[in-house]
Amino acid sequence: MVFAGIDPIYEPVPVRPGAHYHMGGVETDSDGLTELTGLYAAGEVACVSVHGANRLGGNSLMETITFGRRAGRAAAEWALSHTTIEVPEAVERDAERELQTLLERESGERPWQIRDELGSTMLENFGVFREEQKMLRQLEIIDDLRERYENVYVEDKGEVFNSDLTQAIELGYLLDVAACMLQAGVARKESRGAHARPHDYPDRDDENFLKHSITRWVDDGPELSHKDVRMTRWQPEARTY
Amino acid sequence: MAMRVGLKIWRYDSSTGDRALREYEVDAPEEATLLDVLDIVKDRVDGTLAYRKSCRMMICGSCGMRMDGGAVLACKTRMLPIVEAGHVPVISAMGNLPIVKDLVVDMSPFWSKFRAVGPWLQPGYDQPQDGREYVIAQERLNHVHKEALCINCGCCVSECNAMESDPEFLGPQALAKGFRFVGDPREGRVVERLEEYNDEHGIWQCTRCYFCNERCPKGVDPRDAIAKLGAESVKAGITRDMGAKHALWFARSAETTGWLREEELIPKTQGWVSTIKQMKFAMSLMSHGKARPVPIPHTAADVDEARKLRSLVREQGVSGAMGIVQGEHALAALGHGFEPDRDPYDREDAFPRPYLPGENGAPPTPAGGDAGMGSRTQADVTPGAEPTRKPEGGA
Repeated sequence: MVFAGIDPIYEPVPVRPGAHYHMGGVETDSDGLTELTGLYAAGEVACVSVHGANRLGGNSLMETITFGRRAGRAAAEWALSHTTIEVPEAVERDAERELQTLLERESGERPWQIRDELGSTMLENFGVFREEQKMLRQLEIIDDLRERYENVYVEDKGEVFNSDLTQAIELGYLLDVAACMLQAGVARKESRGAHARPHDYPDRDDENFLKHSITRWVDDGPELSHKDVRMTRWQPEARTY
Repeated sequence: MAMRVGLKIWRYDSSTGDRALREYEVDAPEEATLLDVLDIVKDRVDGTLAYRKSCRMMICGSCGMRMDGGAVLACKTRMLPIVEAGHVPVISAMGNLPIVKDLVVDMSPFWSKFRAVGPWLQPGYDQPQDGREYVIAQERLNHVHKEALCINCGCCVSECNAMESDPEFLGPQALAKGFRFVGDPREGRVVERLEEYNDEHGIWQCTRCYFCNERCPKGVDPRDAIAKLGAESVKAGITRDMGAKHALWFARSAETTGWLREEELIPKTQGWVSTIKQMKFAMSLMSHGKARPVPIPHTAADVDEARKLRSLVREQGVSGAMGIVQGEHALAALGHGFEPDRDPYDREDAFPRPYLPGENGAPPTPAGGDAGMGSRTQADVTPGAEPTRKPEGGA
């Protein structure tokens, strides 16, 4: 019965919110193919759009058992028939320069401060129940955090298993994803699945929002668009429990 | 509530070969695990510290490392009792695997052995041929339950004595995984697998030190899985290895005379040529009083009990792995203090008894409630049946 060093029969379990599942993700077809030729996504990073607006317990197994297998097979087939891919030199240089800039910076703010603030403010303003005002405020906070991120400082300068560097890079992506989520969240003026707005839009609005939110990063920010929902056998129903 | 936690960490950088024991001290919340403390150290004290982590909840198996010389999962190890004891533990990388940096090891030898045991179901010919799902009763999978719990963290491999002397040894993790498939009623390559696991770096290389059982954070008990593979091998007639012969002789000896005839163990296990070669060693043992010069043949007074036990096992058909599984279930009941008439919540230090659904005095369960887990209808478990709908809709 021991979990995290605690036997719940004899001691209370410390409870905290946790990320149960990441709904949404990189849009793929049913073979894991993304918008970019040759790039496949599978698992929790991918979004095959089978779960609707709330994934039910156990259903994430589909991500590994079904779509993991399909994506793996499709990616392998693609890789076998395409041995090399041309990466424009400029793109490569840009990536190298970005890494170089991070590694060469000699002072600045450590990533954890920005990451912790991102986490606590997202929980507060974009958590279980969402409100327009809070979401808009959070967008401003993200802008501020993104500005601070420009000065993020990586302490580890080594080339072996440098998780300080990878975590700093990851933080940049977390900030991007947070901005995408907020933009889509503000625009979705209804309550659906895990997107609950009990104060301003408590009901589901199929007329205006029975659609997928698709976000692309264009120039310096997220650009929101929509995609129709393909429904076959199961129609959306009210959640009555 | 915060506590002051001290750690000594063995730092290592494979690119320079630099190695040093560094000491850290940080404030951490009382419920912090070793992994939480490492996170605090990395964030606030030393960003160059390297370790693996992912789920933080004992599912992914990333954060295996050594604490005071023994493998632990960092996310499972609570620091409060260690701090209260005034102890500053030494944290280092897992053993038996090359260190990449600090607490990060190169897992590739681990994965190649994992791969070598064929860790996937290789179905037999008695499968449903019409494309239907092969559904088996839960009871038939229960005896590989422990082995199925493995999260590939490597804690057992880190502590494996046999692997220290034979780095090619398949090892506790891979072999436990092997039994997970040997014991699966759907598996079609049982005998072939047993043949493979009986090779020179296979099951009989295990020294039975039981460190893998002791250090596994998930209760897989890899040594017991290796024993089950041994029992299944003998049952399948794969007895060419000395280890199998050794075990068979133990059983035979106990059944015939009720005691262990050690003098015959070497010839029965290793053969006469090897025995003659070891005569000098045997003489030395005798001169030091470690072995008797002349074995006195006798039969133990209670040998009938041993024989009865042996025939009971045969009657019940619990030879092979099933015999060990049965014993484990009995031991588990004892180990958990299971007494049919005694309630764990009666203990003085127990937490107040919780309400269980439907119990007297329990708060009412919400109508149609499934605790947010999504309901399991009959259609979920019966292949081919139409899914049923809840009367109130919902999912």
